[in-house]
Amino acid sequence: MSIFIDEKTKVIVQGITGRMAKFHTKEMIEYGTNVVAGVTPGKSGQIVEGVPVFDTVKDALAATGAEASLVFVPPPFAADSIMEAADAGIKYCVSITDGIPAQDMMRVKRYMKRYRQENRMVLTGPNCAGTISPGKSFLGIMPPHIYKKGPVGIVGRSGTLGYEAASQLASLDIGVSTSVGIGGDPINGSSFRDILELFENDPETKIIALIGEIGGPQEAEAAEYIRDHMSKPVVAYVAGLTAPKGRTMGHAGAIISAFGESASEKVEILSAAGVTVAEHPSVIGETIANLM
Amino acid sequence: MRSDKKVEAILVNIFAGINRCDWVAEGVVQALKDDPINIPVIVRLSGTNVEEGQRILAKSGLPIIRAATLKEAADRAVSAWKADKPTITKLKAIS
Repeated sequence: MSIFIDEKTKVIVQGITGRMAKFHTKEMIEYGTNVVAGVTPGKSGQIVEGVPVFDTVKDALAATGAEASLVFVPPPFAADSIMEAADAGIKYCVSITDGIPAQDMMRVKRYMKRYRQENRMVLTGPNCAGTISPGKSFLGIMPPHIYKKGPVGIVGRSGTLGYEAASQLASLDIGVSTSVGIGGDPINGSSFRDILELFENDPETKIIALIGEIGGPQEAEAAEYIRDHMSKPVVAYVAGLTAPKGRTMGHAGAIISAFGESASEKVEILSAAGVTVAEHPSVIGETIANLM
Repeated sequence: MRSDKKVEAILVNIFAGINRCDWVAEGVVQALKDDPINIPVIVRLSGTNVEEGQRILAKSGLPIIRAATLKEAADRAVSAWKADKPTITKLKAIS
């Protein structure tokens, strides 16, 4: 098992006719992801990378029975696309789009509340690298060849640091069960805590790497969950030890604006909850290997 | 970055996902050819299209210091900066 996706998961790509979406759809299909359809309004009937394009998510679902969606739609329309996916009955959605207005994401969060939890679409991202279950399937923009299959669950706000962790692990001959990017935006679909719960219940995942950064309360929330509910070991890295207060560092959500949001405070909070903290981004792999 | 006289070495670190190593390499090569620079430039590429990116850097004939991992890149940046420091000071003195 892995979380969210495997080789059977039927996937659609929203915004498939765009340049970036085409490139990554091709990579996904080559890797083995079961991409069954694409959606771009007004472009039904086209074929992209061998995949039929539909006008709406509803049409794509009716024709293919897809369960998961990857959103490459540009920022002004991305929130609508995410809500369209939820409404059409998609179970799991990854949004890559960087730059969705925070107000739009608030609208998405409120919109999702209309569904009972068991019917509610799970969203990861936006502004993330996506999700990969190595050897099975991936939804996203990561370079898939750097991931080896294995027992480590990775969850992170930064795409690049997730790649860094996976490639360090691979060089130590350690693999990954699933790697999930929760994205760098201040308002996102799933939190660290949500993903940790899934990893805790996933028999294939034996140890978890959590890659956090400055800004927001999600690392502290995760620490509380780890302390109270997790049996599996967690290794963390928190980016931004030298970041000044009040300045966004790359990600929209990476800004120290309240108590507990700096990297050193997060390291302290995570350590107090029993998490092993890697001190440099270049020793994430080593730190995990030492705990296995 | 190069307009800042306090910068004495440049480390470019890209683990490409949606970005691509060949684009990054082309950008670095173009920037250095358009306007040569007297401080060490260290480039670490990994991820999407890494082979093509490394090939572009190697073929350029520019004195770019390449590294395969983040640790290696940091180590090489520091040692190149240390080795290069006297030269920079001298150049500054001349100008």
